Amino acid sequence: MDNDLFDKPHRREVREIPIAPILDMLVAVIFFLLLTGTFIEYTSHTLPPASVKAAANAPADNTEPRSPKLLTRYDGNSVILTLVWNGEDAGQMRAEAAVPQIGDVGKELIQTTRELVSKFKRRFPTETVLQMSFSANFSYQHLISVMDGARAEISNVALISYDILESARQAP
Amino acid sequence: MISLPKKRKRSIMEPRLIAMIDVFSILTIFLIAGTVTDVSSIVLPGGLTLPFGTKPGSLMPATQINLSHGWVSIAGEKESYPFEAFRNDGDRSLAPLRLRLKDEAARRRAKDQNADLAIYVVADQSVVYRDLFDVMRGFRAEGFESLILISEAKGSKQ
Repeated sequence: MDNDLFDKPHRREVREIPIAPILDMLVAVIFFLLLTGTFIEYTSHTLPPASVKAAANAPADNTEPRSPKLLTRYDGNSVILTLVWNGEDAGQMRAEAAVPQIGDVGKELIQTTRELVSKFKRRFPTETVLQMSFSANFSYQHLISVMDGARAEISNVALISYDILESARQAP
Repeated sequence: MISLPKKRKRSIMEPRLIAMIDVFSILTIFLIAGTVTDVSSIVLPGGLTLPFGTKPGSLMPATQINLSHGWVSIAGEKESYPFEAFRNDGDRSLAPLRLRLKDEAARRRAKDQNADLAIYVVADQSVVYRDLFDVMRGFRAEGFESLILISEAKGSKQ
């Protein structure tokens, strides 16, 4: 009896965390996530609300705002870019690039647009908004290329109706 | 008598589960982050080829509209609307869409009074500007002023 009282206590068993089921669960989760996930990197062009565009265009004095517009259209195998502006020193600049092929990012078009807008920006550094119009048949791929080039110099761009380009072409 | 050395008992190899769990946990976190946040919030419908772009931009959760093969649809919904319907402002066939957009705008405004009502425009690279502009004008008229044109990153970032 006395011996029983002073028996060594049983060593407590160290319980291990069951890791295998956790691992199973994680493997299953990864499988589903890989299936649902996409591995395409996206780029985006945010077009500001019309109110932002109007506010940014408002001149500080009473002079007529320049409101620069980049008008873009096809002419045979070329893309014609015309940057026009109003105001006291109204004028325009023109550039031309080859129509990019389907599936091509259009590096030449991007570069040409960038150079044209850069030239304007150097002349009028205070201009922060560029309005863009394209001919009605202008493809979305080429529009993105032109926007890529323009936004490298003026980040705030707004898309305006294709009617403006048509009326500008018809004007004497 | 030659006494041969006793063979050592080979210890049983156990896989290093802790290290594996660490790796899997980190992978899971990254994959969940990628799925829940920006990258995979865009759902590309079949038959739509995005244009390629070089201008990087961050994405935030927003309603997505798809423009492809002459039709416009809101991602995750069955109804489609032809491009032509957006040419005329008062086209009756757009009534269900207008109602749906009003509800969406009200829902977002209820959550946040100053919510930016943005829309992702996911359009096929062959869509022409006239169709794109008419559709964008239609959505702007319903209060969705911020439009985000989505393209696929390709080429050198400038």
